Amino acid sequence: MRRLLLISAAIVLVVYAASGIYEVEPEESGVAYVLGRIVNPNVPSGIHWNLPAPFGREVTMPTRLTQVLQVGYGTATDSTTVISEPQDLWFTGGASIVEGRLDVQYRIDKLDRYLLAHDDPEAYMRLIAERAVTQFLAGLHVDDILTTKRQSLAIDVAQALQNGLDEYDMGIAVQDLSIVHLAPPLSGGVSDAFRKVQSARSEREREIENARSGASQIRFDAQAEAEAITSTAEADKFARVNQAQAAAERFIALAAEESTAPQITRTRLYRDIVPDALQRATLYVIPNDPSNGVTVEGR
Amino acid sequence: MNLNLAEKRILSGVVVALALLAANSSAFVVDESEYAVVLRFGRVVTEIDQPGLNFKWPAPIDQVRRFDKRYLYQQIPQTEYLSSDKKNVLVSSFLTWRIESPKKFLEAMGDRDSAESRLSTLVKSSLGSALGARPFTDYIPETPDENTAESSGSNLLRLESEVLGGIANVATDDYGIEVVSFGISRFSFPQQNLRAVFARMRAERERIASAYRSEGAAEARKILANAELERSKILARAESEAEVLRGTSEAEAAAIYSKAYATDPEFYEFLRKLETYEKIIDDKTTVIVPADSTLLDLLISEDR
Repeated sequence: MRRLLLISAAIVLVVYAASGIYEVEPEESGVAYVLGRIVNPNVPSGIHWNLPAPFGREVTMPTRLTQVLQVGYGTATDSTTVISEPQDLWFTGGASIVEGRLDVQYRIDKLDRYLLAHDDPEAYMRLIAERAVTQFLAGLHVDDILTTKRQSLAIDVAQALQNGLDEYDMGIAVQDLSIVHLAPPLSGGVSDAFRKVQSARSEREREIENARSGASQIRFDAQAEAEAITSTAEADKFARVNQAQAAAERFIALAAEESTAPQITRTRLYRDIVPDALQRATLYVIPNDPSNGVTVEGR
Repeated sequence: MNLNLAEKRILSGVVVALALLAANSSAFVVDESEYAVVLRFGRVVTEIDQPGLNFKWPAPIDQVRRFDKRYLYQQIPQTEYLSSDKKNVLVSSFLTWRIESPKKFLEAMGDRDSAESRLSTLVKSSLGSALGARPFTDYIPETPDENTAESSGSNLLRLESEVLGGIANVATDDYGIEVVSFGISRFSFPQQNLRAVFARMRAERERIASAYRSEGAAEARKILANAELERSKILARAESEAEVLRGTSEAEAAAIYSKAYATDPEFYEFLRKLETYEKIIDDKTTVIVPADSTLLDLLISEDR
């Protein structure tokens, strides 16, 4: 009887002690408490033992897993707020508005701090991310935001977020921040108007490009025309000089002929030309002696 | 007292059970993330801010209230305010606070819900007066540039610290709460003002688009005009080059002629005369010459 009692008591004790065995999954780490006090802030993956309840307890969470926090999606997270506006609209300088959605990739870095620092780390993260976006966009022009500042928005907000988390040592490491969507608002036809600017801009480029190719055609044609002009002049010059050369040679030949037989040559030349010429004309000859009254009429 | 064995056993069992019950209701564990306050007949007797095992009198006498030791966030619902330049602005904001003195907190607030509603009221009035003191353009400039990127950020920080300053002391002194930060998470406009913003943005884009279009046409005209100018320059240069060529060819020809004719000027004169006759005399010509003209000396000598 007594023996049986002892054995059963021992079994109960062993089973109770065994209930203190717990497992930490590969992507997790754990925090072990005994009587409310943390006895191990960083329990690695594997099988572990802690004092069983009600003396001890354990919390395990994925710390090697990258988690995603979405900022600017849908409606407000806090059920106590009554917000009818879409959550992805942000004010920019010049009282304009852009649509923006961000994804924050983060990891629980120190689980004990994650559990102890803040009552709702994710909700808080979203708020400080929103604050950083608001501060970044407030003073900038919408055109800069959509073009050149896009990259620094991601960098700045990630930095502000990490600073805000570190301020309270929240045990969260921001790994990456990506801008999922950053565009002019769809409402009120604004994004259409932005697209029209795009097409107007490309139309301007096209028009200028057309003008440029037209201009180079004009220049090319002018160059060709100029070349034609100068080469014609060149040819004319060649012809003129050659002609002069030929005439000169002819003259020299004729002169040589004339010097050997002057009268014959001259007479021949005269007969070649003058009779033909005079044949066409009306010719009056006034005699040296007017009383003579002789006229010679051609033809 | 004469008790048999069975009665003794039952009695001792009851004693052990009672002792366990008493132990269970008098021992309590305070967690790392919480404060505990022990109340005796409703009055605070102990504040515990260290984790571990603690003891109190059993249930009806002592009671334990637990409070969160961690930083607590609180979202302040979007509220409409009026800035000094009469703009209706919707502001969403948030607070971070923690319970500094659980005793004071318990006495002044009772629980987190009522603390949140008190803090929310404080924030709204503080934010309302801070926003009303300055124009909205301090935060959202009308014409953004390099400077406003800096200034609106620092103006926002100043606004936040003004609001924080306005509530921190009250919260600490009266509520047992330390407010550690206040942040503005988002600005917005009421729906009808939002529509005006969209309309303005659209108009602005349309202006930019038409500017691009006219800019393109003007630029194209300029490019073509430049090309035309260049064309006339190129042609003028070619013409003058051709002129020079013509001049030199004339000169060269003249030089060749005169060199040749110099060999026999008198014969040249004779040839020229013949050429002249040929050229000038046609069917409309009437030639009147004195009989002794040199023009006809050949003719006459011929006739002779």
